[in-house]
Formats: sequence, structure tokens, C-alpha cells
Amino acid sequence: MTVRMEVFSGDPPCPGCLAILALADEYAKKYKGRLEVIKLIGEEATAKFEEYKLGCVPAVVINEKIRIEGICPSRTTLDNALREGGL
Amino acid sequence: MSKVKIEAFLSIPTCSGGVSLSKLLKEIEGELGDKVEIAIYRGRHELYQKYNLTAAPAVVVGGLVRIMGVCPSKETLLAALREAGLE
Repeated sequence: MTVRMEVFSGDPPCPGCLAILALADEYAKKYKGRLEVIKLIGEEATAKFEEYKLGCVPAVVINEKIRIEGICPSRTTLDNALREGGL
Repeated sequence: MSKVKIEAFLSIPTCSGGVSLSKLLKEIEGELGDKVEIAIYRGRHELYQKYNLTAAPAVVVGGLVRIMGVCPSKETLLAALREAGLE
């Protein structure tokens, strides 16, 4: 089963958004084939941002469940969230 | 005496620092509304490029870039305002 991870970043980005986008690229490579990473940045993120009723970025939504909001998580935190999401 | 201008730059969607900065500016406006002029810009406004900003949130006081990529404390913002001529 592929786990879906949506990563939200603002534009212009804050330091947390830059960090989370780098982390998203890293995880897309690391879990290629098992993790679907979707980056939603700036205006293009607005519709999904509102759909999930997010309050701020950076944010991570895994399998349509909000896991992280307003901060770039550590790798440990993100790993835990992905495990809970079935990775 | 002319008002000190505060220009704030926030990302779209707003990051956690941007949310904090918005609250801080409301507080400052409530306390010093007759002494400051506040302008809030969202997204990649032309002034974002003009000031060579690289991260949001950012605060420009009296035409000088003072804060970038973080929400300042109230003390920090007040110090910047005083340097720009706030009495």
C-alpha cells in the first residue's frame, strides 16, 4: 500500500517551510514506491489548505489526516507519523 | 511627528510565524495606532523583491529590513520602532 504524504509550504517560504520541502524530497527518495509525496506550495496550496481546515504552514497531512502543523518536524517525528500512516 | 511605517510580509498560506506576527501587529496597532502606520503584504508582493527579502515572515521598519524568517518579540519590534524614531 502506498502512503500519501501532502506537504504544505507558504510562498514566500519561511525557514520551516524550506526545511519541510527539503525533508519531503529526502523522504520521496528514501521511500520511493512506498510513499507518494505531494508538495503544495503557495497559492496552489490554498484549496487543499482550506479543505483540511489548516491554520498555518508548514504542514504535513498523511493519508488525509493532519499530522503536523506550524512547524517542521524532526525526522523521528515524521517517521512516527508515517508509521502510524502504515509505512 | 510623522508615523513610523511598519511593512509586514507574510506567506500564502500563512506560516506559524506569520500568524504570530499578525497578532503582534494587532497589539502594536492597538497600543500605538496613532504613532505607527502598518501595511501587511501577502505572497510575492513587488516590495518583497524590492527589499531583497528571502524568507517570510519579514518586517521592514521605516524602510529598513529588520526581521526576516522569524516573528520578533514585542521588545524587539519596539526597539526597531524606537530606532526608526518612535517616541
